[in-house]
Amino acid sequence: MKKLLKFCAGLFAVAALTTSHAFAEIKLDGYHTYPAHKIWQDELAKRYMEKHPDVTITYRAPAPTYDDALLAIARQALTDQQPDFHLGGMHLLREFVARGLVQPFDDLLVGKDMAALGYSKEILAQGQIDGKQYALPWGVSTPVIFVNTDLVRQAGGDPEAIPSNWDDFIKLSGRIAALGPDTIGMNWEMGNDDWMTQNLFLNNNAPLLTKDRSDVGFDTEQGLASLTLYQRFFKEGGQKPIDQQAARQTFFAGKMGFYVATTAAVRSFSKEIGKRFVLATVPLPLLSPDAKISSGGMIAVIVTKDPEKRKAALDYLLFGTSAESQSFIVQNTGYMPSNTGAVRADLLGDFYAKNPAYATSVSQIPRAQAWLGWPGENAVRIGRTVRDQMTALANDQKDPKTTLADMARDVRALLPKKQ
Amino acid sequence: MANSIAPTYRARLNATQSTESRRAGYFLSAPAAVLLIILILLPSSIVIFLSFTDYQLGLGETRFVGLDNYAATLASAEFHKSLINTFIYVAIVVPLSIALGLIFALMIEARRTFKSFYRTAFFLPVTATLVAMATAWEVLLHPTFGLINTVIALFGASKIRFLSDPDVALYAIAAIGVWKQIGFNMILFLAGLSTIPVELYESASLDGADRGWRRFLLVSWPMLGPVTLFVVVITLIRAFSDFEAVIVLTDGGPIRSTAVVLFLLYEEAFRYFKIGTGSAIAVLFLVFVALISWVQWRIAEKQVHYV
Amino acid sequence: MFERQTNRPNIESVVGNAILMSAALIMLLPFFWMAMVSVTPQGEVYSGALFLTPSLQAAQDNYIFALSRAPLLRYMVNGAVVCISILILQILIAAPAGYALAKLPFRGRPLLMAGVIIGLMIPIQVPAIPLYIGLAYAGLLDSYTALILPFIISGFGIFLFRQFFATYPDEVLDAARLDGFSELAIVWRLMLPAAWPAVAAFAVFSVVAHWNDLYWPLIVILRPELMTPPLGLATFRQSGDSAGNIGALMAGGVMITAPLVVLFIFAQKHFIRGMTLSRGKNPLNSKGKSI
Repeated sequence: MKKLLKFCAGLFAVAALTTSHAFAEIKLDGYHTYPAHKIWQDELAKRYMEKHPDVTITYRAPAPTYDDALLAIARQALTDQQPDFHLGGMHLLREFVARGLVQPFDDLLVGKDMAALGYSKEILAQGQIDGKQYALPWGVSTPVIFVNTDLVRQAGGDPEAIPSNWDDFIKLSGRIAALGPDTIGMNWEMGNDDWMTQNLFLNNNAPLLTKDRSDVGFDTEQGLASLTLYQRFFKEGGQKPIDQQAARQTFFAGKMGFYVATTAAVRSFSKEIGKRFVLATVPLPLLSPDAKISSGGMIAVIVTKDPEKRKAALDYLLFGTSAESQSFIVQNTGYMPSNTGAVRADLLGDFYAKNPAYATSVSQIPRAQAWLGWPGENAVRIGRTVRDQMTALANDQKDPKTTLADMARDVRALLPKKQ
Repeated sequence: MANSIAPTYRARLNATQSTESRRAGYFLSAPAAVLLIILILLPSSIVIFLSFTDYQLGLGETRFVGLDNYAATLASAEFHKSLINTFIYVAIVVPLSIALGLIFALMIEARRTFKSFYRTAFFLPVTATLVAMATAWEVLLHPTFGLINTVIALFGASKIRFLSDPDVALYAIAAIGVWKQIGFNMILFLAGLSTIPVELYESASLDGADRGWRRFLLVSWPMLGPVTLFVVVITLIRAFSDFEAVIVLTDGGPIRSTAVVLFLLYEEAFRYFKIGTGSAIAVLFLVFVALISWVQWRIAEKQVHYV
Repeated sequence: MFERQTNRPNIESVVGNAILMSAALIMLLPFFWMAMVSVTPQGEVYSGALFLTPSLQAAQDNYIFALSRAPLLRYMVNGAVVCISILILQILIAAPAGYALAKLPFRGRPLLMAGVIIGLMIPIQVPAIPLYIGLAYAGLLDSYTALILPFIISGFGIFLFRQFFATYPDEVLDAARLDGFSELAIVWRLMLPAAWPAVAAFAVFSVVAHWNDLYWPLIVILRPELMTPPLGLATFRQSGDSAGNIGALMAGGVMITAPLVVLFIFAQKHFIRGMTLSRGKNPLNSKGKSI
């Protein structure tokens, strides 16, 4: 009995000692997307923790894609296991809100002069749903064309003057493909969702939804022209319908002329390519003078409802979206900064001048339009359905007209039913 | 189970120890029984229940929807496609891996040298981590630089996009499935062959069946009866459940050409959170597996006899 | 080709060996290629060459990259802890049950047998969802427990032990009982040691199955420190890091496959005997059933 009492006393003492520190220390459980970003996400958190020793930020295993992250958090929320904050896909914000997974933080922004801190109205708007602030953009991206300048020269082109209209671009790409049996002309990366397909439609200014957002809007002549363009990539531009891993590997190996993908990959592409060839980036040619470009990107949301953690989380989010941090993120990825102060002389200053590959995306900003999140609860499934239809087109199983009709039919079936 | 003790002795023992044996039987099997219920039978029953609801993880209220999930699933084109994919996959993997497993077992059994090298070589794919192996296969099957395509090009044929051509991908995945399963079946057949008493072969050869085909038909094949049945059922069940290679290499694509039924289950339940639908697929799958096993049971009841 | 070899090497045995050797090489091809790519410099792998030229420098680079970028050692430790725990618990639960089903007449026996068979047929994907929810409500997700608990009941193990124990001579059991052995003692001190080959066979199956399991850890693990080898490799593969660095990815593959290969090579003899003895029936038994 005595032993038991001593043991309990010991337990109490330990408990008392540890709880007395509980208020001083805050632990934040973060969840970001893309394992490839782990290095700089961890580094950013480390910088914050150096400045705030009372806060500990740990990251869970990163989600492979934005869709996976949403689904993981929804699953975890069921049993109160969700992370405290999340860095995820901009286009999924609506779904996060609809499922009640994230919390608005307007109350915590009261008294802060966001404009002075470098947050433009447009940037803040990207994180708002129905007027409430649910997110802060962590990194903005548009698709750019990665160029293997060596192959361009070999095919008789001028890397300084890549064609800015599709006809000539496709011709050049076709000439590159003719250089050798294993050389591929170009690859418009489709990814696992519909971002790049949206870009195809927007490139011809084809609307995605009807004005009232109730029905599909891309089954028009303009939409058809976009799909025909995509078909031309394969028939004339030397694109082959291979999977993403294989395509990227081929580009890194120096056997592909052009690769169309998000600007966020600039840094990692450069690292993979190393000295194999000289890499450059150019903006997308346009089908229509009113072409838009779909800007994707990463947003930061607060998931936890605990008041202490919310405050701490927002503080980290503000840190991560500050001018300094954004400048750091830009240089480590290729994302465009979400903070206007990042282009200050002492931060990004002449970075863009010295690294033109990173600046291409910035030049496309005037055309940027937010990546559309499909209304309803089937956004993820719609993304994949669209992607599958495009794969059928790429494999020459359907012609553009049929693809468009099938795509419209499938998406329509997944949109919320008209009331 | 033979009892070789004299019947009366057994009866005496039975009388005295039957109660103790029974009690011991309960005790010793209790943990297994309890865990079987908690970990397998109960959750599976819950899944059956869930299949009649529209439960969605993390979203809204749940309602009882009766057979709607089953109706929707059985009517959906995606499900039909996955059924076809699964059947094609099974139709390739099962016969090939069993036939090749048997042939190689017979050949290895007849060797005197290199026996354990061959055994190891054929069984290693079974032990290997599929993620690692699938990735190795991915490199070998690369559409332009993979070894297989390089060899194909040497012969003048055009290269094949093994994993990205919708008409080929399923067959590539099936080939990997065969590759993985052969060793398992081979070992089982080897084990079966090793239990055939030499006397049977000797008496068969006295009857004139001492060479190849006839020896096989007269002695080996019948004696392998029970093993073959076991192998067939196990291979069938495994082939229907195979979907890891799909997850790692093709994600159901291209254009859902490699989406097998269990992959569909994984998608519905763990990607889209349509637990109700996923549960319906799970139940349909269970019913099918139960059917196969029941058929096997009946055949076993009738067929397997020893001399 | 299919006959017992005579002492003279002849055409048939040469041809047989040739066929077997080619088949063996095809079976081993991915292992070989994986090992080769893991020691080859980056640029070479996709150069379209038929033969790769390995280099020591590349080997160093790839393996160090894989070890540092993905904490492979940590993953393997996790794998070892989980597999060994599962195996020990499986044997602790399955052996007595197998013995009871084989040798002890108790009223629920056929019912339990049926339950075991049903359990065998159900793939893990089916009970996965309720198990996941149950573990979550118990606060046990993202832990070793979550990785171990669902598998400690092994229908296959119970079956295997039952089959093996059934062939154990009753006289020895009776003698033991007369000597005062409790039933539990019989299981651990008589049956299990005698069933060593079956235990070895089961151990190989169990460890292989759970070391290689991707599906369940994929669902229940959130933290990188708890990942098992396949999950770790799959994550490494999906991260942009490895898309260009195929050598490092293969190095990772070699490292997580190696332990199992070594295990199998060592356990081979016992394993084969275990398989043999469990499936083999003395043909003088009457009415032998297949399972």
